[in-house]
Amino acid sequence: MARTGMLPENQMWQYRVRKLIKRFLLYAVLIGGALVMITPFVWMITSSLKAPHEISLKYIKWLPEAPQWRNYKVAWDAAPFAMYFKNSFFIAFVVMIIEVVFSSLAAYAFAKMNFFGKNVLFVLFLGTMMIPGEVMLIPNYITMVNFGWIDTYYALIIPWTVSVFSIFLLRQFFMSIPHELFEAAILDGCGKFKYLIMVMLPLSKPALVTVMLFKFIGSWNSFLWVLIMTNTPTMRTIPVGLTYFVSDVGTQYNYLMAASTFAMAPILILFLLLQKQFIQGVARTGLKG
Amino acid sequence: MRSTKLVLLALVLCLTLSSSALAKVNITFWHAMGAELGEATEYLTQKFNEIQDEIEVEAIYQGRYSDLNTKLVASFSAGTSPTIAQVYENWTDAYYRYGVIAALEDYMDLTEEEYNDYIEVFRHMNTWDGKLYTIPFNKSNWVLYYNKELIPEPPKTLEEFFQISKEVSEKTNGETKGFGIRPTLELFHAFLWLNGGDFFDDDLNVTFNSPEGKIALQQMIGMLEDGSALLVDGYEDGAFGDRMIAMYIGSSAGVTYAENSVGGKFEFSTAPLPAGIRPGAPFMGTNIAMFDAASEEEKAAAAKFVKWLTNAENTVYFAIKTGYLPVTYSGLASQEYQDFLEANPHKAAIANLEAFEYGYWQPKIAAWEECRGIIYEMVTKVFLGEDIDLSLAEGQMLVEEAIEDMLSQRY
Repeated sequence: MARTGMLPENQMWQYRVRKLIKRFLLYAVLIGGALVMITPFVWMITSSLKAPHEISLKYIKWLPEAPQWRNYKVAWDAAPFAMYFKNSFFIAFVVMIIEVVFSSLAAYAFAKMNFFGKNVLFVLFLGTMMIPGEVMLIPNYITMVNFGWIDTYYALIIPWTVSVFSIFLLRQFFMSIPHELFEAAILDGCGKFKYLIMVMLPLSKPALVTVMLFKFIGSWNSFLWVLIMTNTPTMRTIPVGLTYFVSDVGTQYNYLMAASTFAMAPILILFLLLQKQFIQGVARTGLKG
Repeated sequence: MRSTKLVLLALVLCLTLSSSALAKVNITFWHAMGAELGEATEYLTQKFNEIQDEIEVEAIYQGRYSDLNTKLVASFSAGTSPTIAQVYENWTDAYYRYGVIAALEDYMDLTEEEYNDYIEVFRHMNTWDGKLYTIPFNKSNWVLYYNKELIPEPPKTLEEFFQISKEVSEKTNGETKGFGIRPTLELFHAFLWLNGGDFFDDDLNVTFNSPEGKIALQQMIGMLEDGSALLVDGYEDGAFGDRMIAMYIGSSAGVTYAENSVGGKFEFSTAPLPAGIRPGAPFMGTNIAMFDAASEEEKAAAAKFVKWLTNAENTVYFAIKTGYLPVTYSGLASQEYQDFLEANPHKAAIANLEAFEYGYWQPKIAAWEECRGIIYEMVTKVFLGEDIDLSLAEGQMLVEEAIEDMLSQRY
């Protein structure tokens, strides 16, 4: 204000208009992006309240004539969802915790320590990411059968506790933390493990949160693995429940959307909670950097 | 003394109880039916478990059909296959070639009368090596769904069908198109069959790259070009319910979806497919197969269950609950099913007895999964404007390769 106050009247006016246009464009792009992101969710939620004949129409009908709240009840009763929720939560949570421990340890070794064959090993690790999961499904199934893990939480948790992608992501992040910090800490008598716990991990909060979020969502959405490795409803998770509404001759979209809404709600809440953490983490590392 | 007697008595009781529990044969039944279909299956299974105490059947939902197939294939390698499962004919052919299924007929003790009671078309679909390897379970046929408000009398011939489609589109100024087209394999098969063609001859030579195949594709494209049909994305029942189309060809098992989409806005009904050079009624759906890894005792138990599951009473129960067909003549003729059809006239075409005379089905060969992908792609390409002759020739070449792979035992 002070600076623009010095400008002649017409220039100030021009400046204001330009600023306004920039603002306008920025908001237009942001609103456009937000709409693109939010539309499918809005459609999902409104469709979850529609009667079946209101869904697949020539002209999109956004709001149902009379909200069919019973869709939620019917969808909830169509499969043992309470049990599926319990399993999904338990499995996703345990997998996420164990995975973040393993990944940070492995990433720490790859990022900060020197040992024989480190780079070769790392490349081999990355190489496993190139193999599509479908190729490994049947061999993995046979392995699980031989371990006697079919229809147990072991099969649903243990194979997923190591993720090359997470190790890669954390390693890259750890490497960006100045090595001088490591040397200084060691000189001050800090052990390597203590350094990881006291310095590296707190500094890597955004990366850790990202890895955990990815893992949780990945585990939450996992479908084929769960279906193949289990036989009893008591061991299954939410995505298996969602297939109840899909058949080879048609889909019950209203129930599917209702089920999708309640299946997605916990993830959304988790994301909103972690988003705060995420921003805090970024802010903290920003200060140190 | 008294207490010793009591202990002994308790022991004997325990032993008899546990031995009777041990004597129960447990069998597993993998299926791919969710929602109402799953409930009907679960209901019948529970009922079977209740009415007798020798066999305990566990019905396990294994996702959609493709998931079920994946899981079955995995289970063969790991030696964990179920006792019985729902299968499509082309899966059966593959399993037959792997040598992992046992012929159900060998264990079912069917009298001649019982054998002949299974509807003939379904027997053909389930026979390998002269035997009923599998037993028909949830069979459907494809029928013409039509809007009765716009089309009081359904077309009987292809000519009438084209005529009516055009008239509806013109009458409504294109608001409602006469027919809904999806470039699916099933629709191409219908047009191909009605024009006198098919995918293969009896010796598995490709026959769709022929004048009949060309006419079929030309007719489908022609309907889109002259505005008498609408290209539909997704299941047709939605477009049908919204009056975007006045007719479509779909599975009888989808009738509840059509009812839901229409939501009482207009009256609709079903009719047999209009006849071309010849009439045709496509039959689909799955059958029950039994796997060789099971013990003889389990196989006998499973056969008993399958026989019970397809008896007149149960096949009718399942048909009424789901929109699939009874699999036996006695089921079709039963008073209960006839009453049901009478009360639901829009479902009458589903169990049109004549249709069983000229039924046709998709090739029951192991390579079909691959072939149907190729043919589907070919039809899609034609819809996107590629040359019909070239596409047909390319499709033939690729399908021949797949068949050759199969015959050279690479399955």
